[in-house]
Amino acid sequence: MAEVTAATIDAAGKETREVNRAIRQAAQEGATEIHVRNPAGRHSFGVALTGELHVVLEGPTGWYTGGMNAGPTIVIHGNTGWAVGECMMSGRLEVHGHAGSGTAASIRGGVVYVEGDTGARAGISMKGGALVVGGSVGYMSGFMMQAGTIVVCGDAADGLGDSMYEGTIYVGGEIASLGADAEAKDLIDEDRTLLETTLAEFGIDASSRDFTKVHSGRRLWNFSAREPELWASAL
Amino acid sequence: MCGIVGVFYKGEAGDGPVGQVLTRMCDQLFRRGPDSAGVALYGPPLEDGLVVRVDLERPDAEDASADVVAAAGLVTTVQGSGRVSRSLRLLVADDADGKLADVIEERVPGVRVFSVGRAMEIVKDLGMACDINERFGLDAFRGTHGIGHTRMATESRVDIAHSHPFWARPFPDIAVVHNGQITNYHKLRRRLEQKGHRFATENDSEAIAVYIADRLEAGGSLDEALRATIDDLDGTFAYLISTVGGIGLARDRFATKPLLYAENDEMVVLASEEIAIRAVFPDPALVPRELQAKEVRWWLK
Repeated sequence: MAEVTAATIDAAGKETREVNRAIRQAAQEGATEIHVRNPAGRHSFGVALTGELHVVLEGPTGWYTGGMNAGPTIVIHGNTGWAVGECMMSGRLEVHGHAGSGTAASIRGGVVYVEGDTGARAGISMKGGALVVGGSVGYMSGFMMQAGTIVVCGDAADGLGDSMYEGTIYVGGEIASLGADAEAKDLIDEDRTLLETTLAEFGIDASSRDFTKVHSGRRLWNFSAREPELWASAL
Repeated sequence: MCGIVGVFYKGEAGDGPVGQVLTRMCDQLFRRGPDSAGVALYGPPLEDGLVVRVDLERPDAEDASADVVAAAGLVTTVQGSGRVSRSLRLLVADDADGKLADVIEERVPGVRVFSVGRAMEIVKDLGMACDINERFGLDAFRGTHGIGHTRMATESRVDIAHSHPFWARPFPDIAVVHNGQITNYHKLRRRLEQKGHRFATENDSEAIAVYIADRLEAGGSLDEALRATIDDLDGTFAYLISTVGGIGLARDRFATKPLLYAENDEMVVLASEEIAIRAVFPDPALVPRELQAKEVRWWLK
């Protein structure tokens, strides 16, 4: 096992670019665990990083935290703002707090975990990977997702899975309403196994909730004049 | 984009550092709107009389101050006046017909009445909130609650009159700050004008203030008025409405514009982004939550 070399960066009084450069610099100098103090709700920390890196943000962060990363693990101790982990290619991102709208937008791989709730459009346009939410998700989550998995342990607000092409959403609580062309299905054994293993990693017992599976009805894949209502409701 | 902020102190003292808190939070959101900034501040409500804030257009307009006092004297008794930069503050006995603002603006060309109320004082100007704070001495303002705004103009021109907050003229003590665009503005405005209301600007956000004031005047509760806006306003919005008693807020059905609230035993703090809250209230026990789509909330004394 590689030796863990830690580095600490204080974000107070530094420009965002200075902080992100310092993270890269520390990584280049061999630090494998980098702590950022006083993020204070500011935007765009820990973005576009690659490799085996562990970045801990010791407080709430703003928008786009940990976006466009390939490989690193980002841990946020506090809330985070809009579009956390956007366009992540691989790696892991943990939010020990609540997240804003557009959580894990367009991720292609890796795992985004939110301990609390998310705002609207969680997992919008996901192209792979997994989003695990310990709490509830907001309006139109899973909108236009194309691949990957969303697991919501709490409730889902209106319009869940609207216009999703592919991928799977699991919801452990109430679904306020499904979006256009989203369909609820019963779980099969494979789903249960997947939920158990995915949630166990975050200390959540999958069997304590009665999950519903949601996936695409695929009726929006091709235009049909026979279903005008469906098309009228699709955005 | 625009940035909106608010603070509401729950205690009875009414001496919270409202001016300082709101302008500092606005400063953190300047990237959301660098055109102008403004605040609606609520001091302890006057038992008798009203406080009026007038924009003099030119900071050196000594003559305009005297003219404004004289004009106000035509409809009410002026009990006091003081000027800081271009903002003239009047204390008057009453405004029984709601005509005070109109009379002042008719008699003294170029000046604008920004607010009339028992508690509310609106101060706004072009530029950054920190400069406005300094220019008008807002750090010294203590009170019960208030709302603030930093603007990126989209629907109307960049000038002081079109800056937020907007007073729900002529209704005392009601103001709005808004992030978004009201797409049925013209229809909404026409409906309100048919009921006899008049508008001071061409800005869509002003219509939210007048719409809510109209409902409150008709005897509706703030909760009812906020809920009605979810259906009656088209477009995108996250807004804060303030009255003499407190603050209400709402977010559109698509949750397009951000709005957070954080609450503890002493206060409620509101902002477009957490960065604004953390700059003033770093306490990790104060945890902001994002308002959900179609959600409304309010805090009243």
